Amino acid sequence: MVAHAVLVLFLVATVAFFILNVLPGDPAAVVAGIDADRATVERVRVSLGLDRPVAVRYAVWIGDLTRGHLGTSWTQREAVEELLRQRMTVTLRLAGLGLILSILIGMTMAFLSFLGRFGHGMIRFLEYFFFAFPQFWFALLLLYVFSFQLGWFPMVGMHGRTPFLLPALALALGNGAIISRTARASLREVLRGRHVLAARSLGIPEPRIVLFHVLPLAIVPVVSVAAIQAGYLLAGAIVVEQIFSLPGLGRLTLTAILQRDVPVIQGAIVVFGLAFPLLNALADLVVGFVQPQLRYGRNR
Amino acid sequence: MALTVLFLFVAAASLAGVITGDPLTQRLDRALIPPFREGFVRGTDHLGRDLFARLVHGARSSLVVSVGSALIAAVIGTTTGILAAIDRRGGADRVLQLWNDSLLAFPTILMAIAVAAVLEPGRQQVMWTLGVVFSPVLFRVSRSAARQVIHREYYLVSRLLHTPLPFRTLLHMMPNVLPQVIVQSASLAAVAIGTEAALSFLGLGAQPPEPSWGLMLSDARRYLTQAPYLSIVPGVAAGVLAFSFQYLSDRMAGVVTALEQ
Repeated sequence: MVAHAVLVLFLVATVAFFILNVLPGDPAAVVAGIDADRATVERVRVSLGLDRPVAVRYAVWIGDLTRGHLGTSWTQREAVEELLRQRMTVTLRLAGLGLILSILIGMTMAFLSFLGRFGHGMIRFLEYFFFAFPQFWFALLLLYVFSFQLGWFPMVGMHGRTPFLLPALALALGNGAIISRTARASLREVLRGRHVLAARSLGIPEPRIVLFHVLPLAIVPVVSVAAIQAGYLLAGAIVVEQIFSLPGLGRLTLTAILQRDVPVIQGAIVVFGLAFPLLNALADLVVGFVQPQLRYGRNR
Repeated sequence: MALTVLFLFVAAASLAGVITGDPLTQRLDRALIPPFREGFVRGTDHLGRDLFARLVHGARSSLVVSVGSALIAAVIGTTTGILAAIDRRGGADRVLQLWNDSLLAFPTILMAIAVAAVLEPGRQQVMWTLGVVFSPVLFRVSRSAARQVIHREYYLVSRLLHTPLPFRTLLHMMPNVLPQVIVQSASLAAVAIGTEAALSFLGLGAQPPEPSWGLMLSDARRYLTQAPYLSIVPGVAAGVLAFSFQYLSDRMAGVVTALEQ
């Protein structure tokens, strides 16, 4: 697993480097500014190390990476890993709360769908609705209703006690729909099982059956889907942070793009790209905890 | 239902120039009029531009990007997927799988952002980026579908008869791979609508003054308190369109599984 993660990291770092360094465009000219004359552009190019050949720059980038250094920002003259670390907390808290909310929403929706035909149809409609409508549109809507009309939350920024609740909710709706869809299918499958029939015939109360005999089995696919979704929550945070003016990784990346701050963009891509295999590994651990017989290396 | 909605969108988008006025004409004397008000039924934005006209022209932009990127993904994904499946030595298969797995490791929007960072942002770039980023999904679908076909009797027979490979692939493999590709493509088109809107919203997609739903939403954000309808309307349009694509995809998936059994 470690070897796999290293391979993915290497690939992600390579792809990030080549996308940003081989495609056409002159970053030195952008950094120097529109009005800069040729001499200035050349000076900027040398000071950024862009006069060296691509192969050398690639070797330096990979070499630094093995030592945990992601380069130096062109505009802020600070180590990229330091910039990322500062902003990471906001994004992680946002995505983390989003993940918790989306699991809550998804599982609630899945359970509600088993309460009669009407509930089922309603939940299916809600799933489509949450999934199809743009995430950032929900963000705008929530902002209008809860911040402006009701005044429960701050309009922008990190004020108040719960600056993350609304943006996390906006993130969670779409993912909640996906989790609900998975959970519904999985619950339906497990509820058909013979052990449920046996438990019912023994007179075990229904809530107890659902909690101890259905949920642990049904949760397995939900966990793996939630892990994949967690990565998308991180990415979705980029857009939502912008709407709520939260100083997270998304803001950092977007500003870096507009300023052509290549080292920061590369660093952000590596961090996001690494998040996916890590989250998948984490999901395997959680599944192993809930369902010990599915642990790697057992019964195989 | 979903088909009717899609048809309406396509019709509106293709006839955009006929049924509405110019989406770019500014008239500051009638700015920020909500729709269905006396005086200007179609509503206006903060520059007095015709809201309905911008909405319909935005549908054109959104449809082109979503259907275009799904098509690009389908062409790349199906070709590479079938190639990987019929590759008997397995070398190309392994390389293609590695490539597609690494591509899948990136969240779509992040990849699109990275590309937008390098190229000039614009509608075309978004379409091509999304097409490439979506292709691994269709690679997987078509690869597994093609691998199943390989072991069917009719395919074995065509191999024994020495049908040339291109014919064999086109005549015997494609009909069994294509339905699933179409199902997934419709679903990808739904995702593309939201992603395109998000990118334009961030300023990395369509550029002003082009009428695009994402751009409309990004303008509307500043007028959220005065003119909430500006934020609601384009989002509903994007949502309904994506809804229809996704619903259509699910219904087609049902038909495909029914046919296979």
